[in-house]
Amino acid sequence: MDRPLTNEEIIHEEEASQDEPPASQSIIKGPFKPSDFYCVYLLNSISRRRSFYVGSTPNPPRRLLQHNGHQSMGAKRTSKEDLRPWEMVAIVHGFPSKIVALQYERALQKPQITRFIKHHERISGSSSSSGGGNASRTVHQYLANVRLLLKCDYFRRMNLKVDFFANGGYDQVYESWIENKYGVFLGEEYQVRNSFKDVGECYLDCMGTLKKQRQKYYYNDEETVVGNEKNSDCGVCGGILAKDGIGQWRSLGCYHENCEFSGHLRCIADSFLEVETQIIKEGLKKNKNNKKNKNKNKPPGGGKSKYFGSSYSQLSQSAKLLISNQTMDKGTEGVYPILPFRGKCPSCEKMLYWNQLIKSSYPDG
Amino acid sequence: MGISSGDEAEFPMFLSTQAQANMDMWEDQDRREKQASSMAANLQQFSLNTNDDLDFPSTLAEDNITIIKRADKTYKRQKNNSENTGQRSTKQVGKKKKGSSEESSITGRMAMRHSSKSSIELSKQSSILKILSGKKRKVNDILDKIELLESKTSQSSSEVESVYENKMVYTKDEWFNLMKIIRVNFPNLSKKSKLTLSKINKTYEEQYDSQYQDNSQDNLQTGSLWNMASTVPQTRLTDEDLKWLYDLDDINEKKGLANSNPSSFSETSEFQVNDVLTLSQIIDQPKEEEVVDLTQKSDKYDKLSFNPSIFINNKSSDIMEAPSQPQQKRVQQISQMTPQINRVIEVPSSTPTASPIKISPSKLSVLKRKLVLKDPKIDVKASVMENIQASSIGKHSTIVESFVSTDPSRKSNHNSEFSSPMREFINKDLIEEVNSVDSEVQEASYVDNEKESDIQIVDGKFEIDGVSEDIIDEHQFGNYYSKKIIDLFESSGGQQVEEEKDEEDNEEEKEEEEDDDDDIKITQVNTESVNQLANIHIDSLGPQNLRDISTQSQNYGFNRASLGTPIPESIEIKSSNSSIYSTARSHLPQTQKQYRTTRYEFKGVLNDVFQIPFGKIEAKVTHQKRKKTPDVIPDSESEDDDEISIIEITKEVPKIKTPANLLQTNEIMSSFGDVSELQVPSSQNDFDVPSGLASQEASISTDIFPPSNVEFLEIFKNMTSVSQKILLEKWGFQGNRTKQAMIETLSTIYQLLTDSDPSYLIEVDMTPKDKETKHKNINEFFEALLEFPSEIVQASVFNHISDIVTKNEELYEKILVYEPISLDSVTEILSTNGIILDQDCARSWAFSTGVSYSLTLLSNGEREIKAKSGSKKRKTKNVEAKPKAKTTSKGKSS
Repeated sequence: MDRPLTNEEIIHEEEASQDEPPASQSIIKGPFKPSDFYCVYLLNSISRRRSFYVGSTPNPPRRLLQHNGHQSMGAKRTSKEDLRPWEMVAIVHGFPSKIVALQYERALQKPQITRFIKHHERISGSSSSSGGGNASRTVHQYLANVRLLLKCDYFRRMNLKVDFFANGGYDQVYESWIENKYGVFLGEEYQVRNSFKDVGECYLDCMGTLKKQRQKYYYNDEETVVGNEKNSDCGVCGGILAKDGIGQWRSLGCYHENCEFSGHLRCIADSFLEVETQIIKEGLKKNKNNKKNKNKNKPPGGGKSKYFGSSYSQLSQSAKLLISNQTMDKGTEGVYPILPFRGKCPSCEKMLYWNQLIKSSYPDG
Repeated sequence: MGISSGDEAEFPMFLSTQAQANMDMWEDQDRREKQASSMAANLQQFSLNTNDDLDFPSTLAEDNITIIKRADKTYKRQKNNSENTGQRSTKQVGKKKKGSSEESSITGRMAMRHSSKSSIELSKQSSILKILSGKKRKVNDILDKIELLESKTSQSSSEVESVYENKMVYTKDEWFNLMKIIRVNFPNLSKKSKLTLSKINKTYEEQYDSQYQDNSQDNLQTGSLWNMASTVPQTRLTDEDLKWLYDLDDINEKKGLANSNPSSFSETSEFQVNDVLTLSQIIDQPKEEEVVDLTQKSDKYDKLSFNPSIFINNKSSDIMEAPSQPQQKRVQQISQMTPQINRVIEVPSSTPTASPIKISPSKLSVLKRKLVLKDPKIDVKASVMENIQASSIGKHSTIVESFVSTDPSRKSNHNSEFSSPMREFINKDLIEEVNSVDSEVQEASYVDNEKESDIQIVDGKFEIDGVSEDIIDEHQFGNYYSKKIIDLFESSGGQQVEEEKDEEDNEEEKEEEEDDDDDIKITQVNTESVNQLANIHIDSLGPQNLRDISTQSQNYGFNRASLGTPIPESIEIKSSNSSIYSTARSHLPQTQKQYRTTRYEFKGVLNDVFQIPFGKIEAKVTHQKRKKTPDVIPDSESEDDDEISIIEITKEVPKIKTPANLLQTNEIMSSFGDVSELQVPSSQNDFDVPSGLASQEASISTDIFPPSNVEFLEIFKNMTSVSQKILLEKWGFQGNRTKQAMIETLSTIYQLLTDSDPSYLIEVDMTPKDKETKHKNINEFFEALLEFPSEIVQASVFNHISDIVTKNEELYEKILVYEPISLDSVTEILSTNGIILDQDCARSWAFSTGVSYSLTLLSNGEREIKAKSGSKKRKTKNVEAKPKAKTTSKGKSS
């Protein structure tokens, strides 16, 4: 500002400076934007394999350096020299926002208290032998809690992914995941990979894909700007698709390659939801038929898994089926969703996940 | 001592004291030397000198000294390496003492200086000491070395053998003394040393025994047999041995006898039968004669109030023996039955009033049929007291019907005799029957009255033919009879009831209700039976009430809370769904009027019954004498103080069909899955059960389903907070703190349930009964409502909420973009649409639908921040505040 400030502007600035929060508190600015990448990670100490740490971060490689002391702002629990160096063994990513990731992290840190895990499913409790403090939990317990949380109603429609890292040879964590000692059954929809060598690779991979998806429609490139003549109409309702749409008129586009489908946010959401409610209704009808044969007042979850403690992989197929029928929580039956989870792109017939759609619709930065 | 003339008869001369002292000293030393020499001689057994020096030259003493010295040195060396330093030191001290005592003698000292020590001997002897010290790991080495040395020294084997075999160096006494000395001088031996000592002991004894076995028979006995007799025999007695030993018939009964004394053996009593008895076996003896006898002998059972018992005590044995074909048509087997619980134990009662009663379901049905056929108005003057006992076995519940009535005097005996058998009585076949008919047998909660009550009442539920049955709650049971008693007493004008009651009352108070197919009316006998009832009720209430009430059993001074609805004189056994068991609930009256009473004690005598202006309130005055409690010593013994009058104030209250009772029982019943823990109301007296008067006019409500919401509001209001909470939690919501809040939530939930599209509920196959059907009671509707599993309730509620939220575009846009919403906004939107729900409900909605929420967001978009210092001020922040102004002031900070 070159010219001297007028009185009004001075007052404005004073007010602004008064309202400014102290620097220690975090500031959320501007409209909401779903986070590009937020993950909850499981740290394992290399020197003492029994020690774990759970945390969350938007930038895991940097966070790892902080934990190991190469950067400032680590954590008190990871500052002990006996336990350093740490390595990230597993992460759960795909959270839509920071708050949800924090909720997951807290649930993972306190599985005996959290309300995401129902009481009859609980694995680690304060009364159990190895569930007291953070340090006394085993890998199996942590992974079982991860499974339980992924399965619960709140998180299961967020399309979360799990990645394991060998970090140059220590494969035991992924093996214990496969072993599934506590018998928590996850469906096949959940994506669990062991393909990356390191956190850094995974992080870069995720960010890379997101960038590509964004590039397709929202990169400030003259060639690929939404709103050219081909894509100006909503694929669902046929209305005009504006580039600057806000709210439900926001424009979304299929992020797969060579597909040019796009539409209003609301229209696509409704179409996805229709399909999902139909599926649920059919499922309910099937259950209705099944229920006549079964006992009426059986709890849906079947109570605590009978196979608690035994290795899941050693069970026979019939036993596994039994478990799946019993412990596969279908959530509250009959609750129709209002948040779409996934759907098929009408033009390219590939599966579109809602969270990915949303994230790709926001520009970088 | 030295100057006694007697001892020194041989020495006529008198010695000086100094000399005498020296003499004594030398004598001691010589004595010690002798001991040492003898020890050394004994040690020679282990020595490996080629020269079998049986002489004990002084060189041995020297050698001992040297040995000891060497031993000390070696021990010192080992001290640094070993862990047991303390023990070493004592040994060193002990050894040193020996050495020092010997060294003090002149000869010893001389020997030390001038003796020549051969290393081999020393080493050998040092090795011996090591053996004695208990160093196990050295022992084997030493033994090996000894063998080597033996071979080297060319000692003839025979000699060696002779050394080891023929020589028994120590006699028994010497050995004993030796061990004593060792133990005295080395109090803190290590384990190893003790072990070696014991081993040496053993070998010594073996050798001793082997040596002297042939020589003397006495030693034989003293040796091995003594040991054998004194120690525990290693062999264990087998079952056959025990049998033979103790003349046992069944080994199973006396498993503990292997360890116990034969004196503790008790004779086999008759009731320890391991027969598996089922009700069906007993059922299949239709003893019609008994039934007939009952009706004829009803007069005899004046005092026995509980005797439509089909099993008469005397014939218990018959019942036990009678095997019958189980009703296999309706029967399947349950694998989860525990075998322990198959005993029927009937202990005959000593007093006529106390008798265990068992009624089987089919027997009841038989009874019913017969009674109904005979007389529509049944003159059977035995009251039927029933209790359903159920114990849970896995997921199937079993039904036990039994009832025990006892006097409070027999309290002490009761628990031991009655409690366990009653619980253990299980009807296998009934269970099977139940299961086969596609009925659901749920887990029953086993409510054990831990207090000293004679009645074991257990909650349980079962279904037959696909219909749920009621259970009798303990409190309900108590209430039932308390009400009954109140009826009786109040019918007679509120005065003290005399034992001889008019039969007119009985007839008057018979109720005529619509005869269902399986209804039976059984009237009561007489007051004594009522007293018995009272006793039972008293017992069931618990020890507290026992204290209060037990002394007043003849009166009807009951605890205020125990007053309940009036009970008709006749008991109905309703089984509208062809159920076999009757429950107390089926006996509940269907009256419109309800009454609430309070009871005040007033000192003195009130003669006037004052009138109360309010219409619905009535007052009654009764006189009675205050019971003298044994604890309280009255100040004055004037009789006036003893007289008190009791004022009963009753108030009419609009009709409530005791939903709380239903809730109580159903909650416990159907809580499974969702709630892993038993939900039992905290205080049983917290019941808002209205009481009633005696005169009943049976009327069936003709309310059409569904009743209006207003009525339900009242119902919800009248429920206790505990029951409200239970209901809420059963439906899957958290119980709120305030009663009003809970009422509101309940009413809204109910509203949503009824208003919801039947499509929601039909698909899940649980609908409230159609609007067209008329329900005879609100009770049934309520039961149907309560049977809803939580998923359905939640589903309907949440779908409603989501409908409303999706219509609100602002919120919905936020949701679609995964923006965390504030729950307050949700509740606001709901309230604008007329639904009052809590933040917790909104949270659970968000949880189930996957909507991301934030607890700290307020509806304005501001964030609620609690200061970390702990102050109660709330600072709000503008999330979207003045971006323009800030961009100017803070350029690139982000």
